Amino acid sequence: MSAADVISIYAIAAIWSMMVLNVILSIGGYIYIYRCNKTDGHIPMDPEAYPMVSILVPAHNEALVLERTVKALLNFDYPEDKYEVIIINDNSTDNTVEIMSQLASVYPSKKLICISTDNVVGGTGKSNALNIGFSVAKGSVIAIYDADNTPEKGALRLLVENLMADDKLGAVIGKFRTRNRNASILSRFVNIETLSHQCMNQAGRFFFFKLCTIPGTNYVIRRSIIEQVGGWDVKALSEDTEISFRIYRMGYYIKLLPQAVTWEQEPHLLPIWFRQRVRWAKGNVYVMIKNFKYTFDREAGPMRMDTVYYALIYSIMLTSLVASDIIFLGGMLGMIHVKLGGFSPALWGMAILVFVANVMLTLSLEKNEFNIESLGLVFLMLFTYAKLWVIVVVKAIWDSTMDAIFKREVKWDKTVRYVEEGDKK
Amino acid sequence: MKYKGRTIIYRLIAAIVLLASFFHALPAVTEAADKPAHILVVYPEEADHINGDDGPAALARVIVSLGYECDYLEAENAREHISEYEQVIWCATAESERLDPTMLNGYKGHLLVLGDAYGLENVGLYCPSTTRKSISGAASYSFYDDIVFSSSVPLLHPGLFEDADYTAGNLETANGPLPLVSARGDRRYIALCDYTSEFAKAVLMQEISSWLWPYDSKMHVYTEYIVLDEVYPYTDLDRLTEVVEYLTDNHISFVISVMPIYQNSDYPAMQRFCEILRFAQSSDGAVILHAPIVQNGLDAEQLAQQLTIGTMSYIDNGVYPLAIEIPSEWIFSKDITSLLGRYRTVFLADMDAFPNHPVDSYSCSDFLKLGSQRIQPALKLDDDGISHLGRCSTAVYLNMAELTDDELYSAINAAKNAPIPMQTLWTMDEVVYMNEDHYLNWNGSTLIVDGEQRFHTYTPSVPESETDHDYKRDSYYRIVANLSNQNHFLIGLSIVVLLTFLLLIRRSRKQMHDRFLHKKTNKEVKDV
Repeated sequence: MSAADVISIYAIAAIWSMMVLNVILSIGGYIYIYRCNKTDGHIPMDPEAYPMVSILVPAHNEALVLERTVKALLNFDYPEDKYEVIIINDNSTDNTVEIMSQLASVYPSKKLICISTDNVVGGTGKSNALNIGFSVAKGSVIAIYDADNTPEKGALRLLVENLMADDKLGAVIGKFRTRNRNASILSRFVNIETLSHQCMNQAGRFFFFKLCTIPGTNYVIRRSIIEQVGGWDVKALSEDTEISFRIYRMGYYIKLLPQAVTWEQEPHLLPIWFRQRVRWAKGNVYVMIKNFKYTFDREAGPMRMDTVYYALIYSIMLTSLVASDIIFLGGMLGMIHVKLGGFSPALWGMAILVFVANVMLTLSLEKNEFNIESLGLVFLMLFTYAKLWVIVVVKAIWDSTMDAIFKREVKWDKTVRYVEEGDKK
Repeated sequence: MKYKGRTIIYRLIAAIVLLASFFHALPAVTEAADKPAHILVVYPEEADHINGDDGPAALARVIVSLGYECDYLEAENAREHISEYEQVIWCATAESERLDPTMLNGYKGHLLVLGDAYGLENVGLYCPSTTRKSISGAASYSFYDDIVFSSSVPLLHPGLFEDADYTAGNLETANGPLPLVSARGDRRYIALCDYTSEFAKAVLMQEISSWLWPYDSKMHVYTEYIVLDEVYPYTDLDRLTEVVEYLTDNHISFVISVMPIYQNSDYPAMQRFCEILRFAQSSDGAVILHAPIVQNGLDAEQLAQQLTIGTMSYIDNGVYPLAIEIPSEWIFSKDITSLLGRYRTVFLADMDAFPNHPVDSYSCSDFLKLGSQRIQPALKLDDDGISHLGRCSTAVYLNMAELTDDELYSAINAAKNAPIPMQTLWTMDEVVYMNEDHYLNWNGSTLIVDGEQRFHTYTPSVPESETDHDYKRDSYYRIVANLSNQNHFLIGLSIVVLLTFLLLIRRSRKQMHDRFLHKKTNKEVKDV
């Protein structure tokens, strides 16, 4: 048996295993979202019982998108005196301060706080900014929104009602959608990916294991938890994933509430998207390494599922895709000859169909997403966008390795924003 | 005493020298008598570009089959050289271009004229028709006994030797009947100008052999071999057993051309296959090795390695491949020629597989000079695909995978009843030299493999069962086996998943419809 055969067996086994796992998660996610769609998501509360909520919005040179975000936050249907909006103007060099001042004058009755930091205290990333914001927050519940978000009016109320209804919940996360999905073909791919591989996957994991990973925006978390864990990890590039694991270890669940929606601006250009995804992947690799030891700790509870899941994604999935791509390219160039028999081309065709049907299943639960155009995009992204994931992760692992070897400080690579067509008008 | 002793010694030396000179001279005499003809084929310039089945290339393949050395020259180039050859084939087959008959003025050697006879009065040919144009006619010819084969053939100004001392076959044309072949002395004429059909090839083969036969006696009749072709270890062994038993029961000599096996030659399936082969080679059968299937160009070194492994995998199981079967095209590969020289007998398959060689290359084949016994595919004169010519050793290839039982046994019986003798390879000396470590030598009575004597007698054995066999599969092999078995399962699973997804999609779309479209409709109704 040649090396190519051995690698092929590995790739086949790994890819099909991951596909089966994904199908199971999708079915679980489908059932969960289907049930959620039957209700409006609200859990009625005594108006007086609504807790004080501090909304933290880290912003580093986000003037282009911040005004829209803050307006949306100030328009929540949450009791006006029960929440405050804290903008952490994190060492910005743009006109964020002026925009905040103008908004404060427009909404004098709202609690809008803007904290500006310099390059000594701030400017080192989102975790640090959140910790600064948290230090002045008064709420017993903390809500986090990214500066490019436009949450729907009822999002905060839904999140808080669900959090307060169950003491075992450490955090409740909402769904985020792509505001600028028609900006480019890349943003269309991101929109589909967001719905299928992030929302549906989260729903599946919550359905089966009561596990969700905090997505970084549009979520509420108990203040007591943040105090107990000592705030956000400033070394983590994906502080959301990192804190999720610490919440798991405390024995709390994290719930997905798909009715609580925020719309955010996603990268529409490949270089911006690539830098953002490399940062995410680096952050996830950091979290995986930090938490993998709990896989073998029985007391870690359901979080072990997530440590295994992340390990599968960043080791098995990655290597199997790299292997299959190398074999495919090598075969095309006549450099690699796989003699492995038994698997028919029909099987690979079925694998592609299962992938496409899986994504379309997710889109079928969304408004205005399930159509022929999306079907074509899914086929296209399988052979283009999905391949980029391998490059992203390889780059992230390479960077992480270099950072570790040369003891380089981890840098926060901010996602570049742009003015959308609607904002121009 | 000393004197007498010296005398005896001198006499002994003289006797040895005399004997040695006698034996040395003997091959020389034989060689002179058996010296193969060296033929000049003269063909029209236009035909040079054909190189196809109806041009000199087809004729060249016939000559190669007969083992004669040839030179091929276009008419203009041949003019100065004709007198240098003792045998000339005048290939006048192109309608648009005529060969200049004056080139043959004064030629004294053996001459064979093909096709156009017009204007060749200078060599004694006569043409009944005066118009030179292509026509067609019905040709008939008897190759053996009284059985006459007929075929419609294209003609180009056919003729005959008026005072012929030999004629063969008949030709019915619009101008009346003619002999298909006529000859006077060393000069012969064949009216055929297209050599595509099996009939034409057979006539040419028969007549060229006869034309060049140097003796007054009857021509030598070569043997014919029944070859069960391309037999794999995973073939239907019960069917193979039945065929082998039929052949041995009827004392029909045969050859089994087995495909090379490179690994796992100890598997029970291979053992059972070789059990049948051992039985076959102990009686009237012999085994030869079919050449590997080459897909990415010939590589002599790799091929040699494959042949060694392939042969040894059978020898290790008591089966002794005595010869090799190759695609005919290989004899024109200079790289492969030396490799083929390692075999005393070479079976050639598919003689029509090399139509695109320049006609000159047919004379360049070093393979012809190796002296190996070549066995050509039999021409397919009748429905059973058997020619029964006997002009050269031929093989009737029967592919069991392609033939029904009726077709197979019909062909075997036709070969059995034909007047051409069948012979087993075990009656001949055979050599298979693989490399310096591995060789096989059969001298007609003793079989030597790698320096040790072996026997091709058959002793029944009980092949190991598949369940008892230790396949020595490591974990990877087990995974492969499992994965192979999972192919259908995974396809089935995928179909189930797809159907499930489709049902779920239908359900969710209904939910979305109820949530949004239905609400909208109610609102619209209310507005109205």
